[in-house]
Amino acid sequence: MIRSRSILRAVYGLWTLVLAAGPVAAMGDPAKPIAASIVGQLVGTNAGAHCVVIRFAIEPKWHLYWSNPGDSGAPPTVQLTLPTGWRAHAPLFPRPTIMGKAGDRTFGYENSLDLLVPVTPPAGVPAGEVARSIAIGAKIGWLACKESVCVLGNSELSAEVSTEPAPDAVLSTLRSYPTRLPPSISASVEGVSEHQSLVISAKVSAGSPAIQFIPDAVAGIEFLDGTGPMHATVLGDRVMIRLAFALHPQDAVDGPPRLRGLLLMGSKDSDLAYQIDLAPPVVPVGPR
Amino acid sequence: MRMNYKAITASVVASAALLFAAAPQDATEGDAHKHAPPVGGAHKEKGHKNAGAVIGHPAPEFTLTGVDGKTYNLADYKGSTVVLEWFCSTCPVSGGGDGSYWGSGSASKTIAGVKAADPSAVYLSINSTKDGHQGKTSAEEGAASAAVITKAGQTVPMLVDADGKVGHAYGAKTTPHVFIVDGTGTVVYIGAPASDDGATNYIVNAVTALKAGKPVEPSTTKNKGCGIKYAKGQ
Repeated sequence: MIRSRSILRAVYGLWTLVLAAGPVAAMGDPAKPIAASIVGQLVGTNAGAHCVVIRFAIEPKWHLYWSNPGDSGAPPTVQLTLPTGWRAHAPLFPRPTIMGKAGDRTFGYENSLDLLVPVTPPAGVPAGEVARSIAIGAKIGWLACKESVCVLGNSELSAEVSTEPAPDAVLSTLRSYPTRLPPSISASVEGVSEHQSLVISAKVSAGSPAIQFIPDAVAGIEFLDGTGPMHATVLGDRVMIRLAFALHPQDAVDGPPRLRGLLLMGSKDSDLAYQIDLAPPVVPVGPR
Repeated sequence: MRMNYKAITASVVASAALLFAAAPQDATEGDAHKHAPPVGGAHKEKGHKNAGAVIGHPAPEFTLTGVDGKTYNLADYKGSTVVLEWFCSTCPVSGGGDGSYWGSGSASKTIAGVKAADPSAVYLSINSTKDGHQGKTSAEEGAASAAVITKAGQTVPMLVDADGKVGHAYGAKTTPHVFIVDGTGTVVYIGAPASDDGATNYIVNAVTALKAGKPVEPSTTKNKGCGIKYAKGQ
């Protein structure tokens, strides 16, 4: 446990998530495969964000989905109600498990999922004057599946959540929350117009973990090699992943599309994952 | 991140519409699509492998039998816009339950919008669920699906694709999964019926754009829903 705690702290930078505090608003029918709750403590990330934790307990054999579910599925949805002046941002999904087989490949979570929703206090309020606890409401929806069965579920939750970091905390899972790319790994766009590729390159040594990439679902970006995962090719002391993509700005729903996905180091859920997030060069695009 | 947040926060529970997000559809282009080989019915091409329909390319031809016993051939609809929607009666996102696309009334609104935009447009539902899934024969699943449509007050034909050849030819992955074919037989839209919050109906927008002679935008969105349970070996 101590090792896990130190790893989580050192590598992922998550300050707090108090198991002892536990879910403060457990909801749902025990007969249903998913039970959602709000954890009674904000957690921090190494990017400086403070997050509300929506915890999903998942019955055995059932699963929920990543932000890009893959060939099928749908990610959980969260709508927070916060005190005046507080703002919520896009949820942070932990590294997903790769499930299914080619042609029916999905990305998701079994057993449990902690979805982190970054929140920011009212502008202009000094750090020392932020309320010590806030009332949070959450409308949560999900699609859960097991083998050949899927169910829609939802919960309306409420909780008083402490905004103060707790001294001792561990995550309910050992899953990795994606972080920024380290300097040893590069990601760039090569090519022009309709022949662009996302190129990810990393220096490796003996014993380095296998590397895979899974694309996120972004309107206006079409990865031409399918759902993924895409595996790295070894080139001397480097590994490279080259992903052809097509840019369809007319399909974007909110601003220019970005190239997003996860670089998965190793094969375990607890292994590192890095967030790829690039703005592709803006080029004229003709009709498909 | 901001885009995701908007999509997520705008979408609240208890409606299948919230599960239909706007994002790209994975589609791998293959030469086979350019020739639009016929599949299904009497025109099936034995052993043909196809990765899926592609925007701007001819739609795979098909001939299927409906639950009503009639034969439906895509070629018969040349000159009309055709909406193809993959369907499953037990999927809670598609046709299973009050929160589904069909059970929530979203499908009926879509069909009304399609007819208002273009009275000559055709809306077909296709069921590619394998024989024996959840203890039902394909015929029983087709009948159950047709019953869902009838309950919704609609008369959309339910086409049975038990061997999954048509579903694979189009690259249909989920229920629902929508493909729109224009009057020339070209695929012009692949994806979800509507946005997460239901505010944007991609099907109606596409049919409206086609009627006005405009390009369909977006032409791809992220389909979401239950994975289609295809027959093995297809």
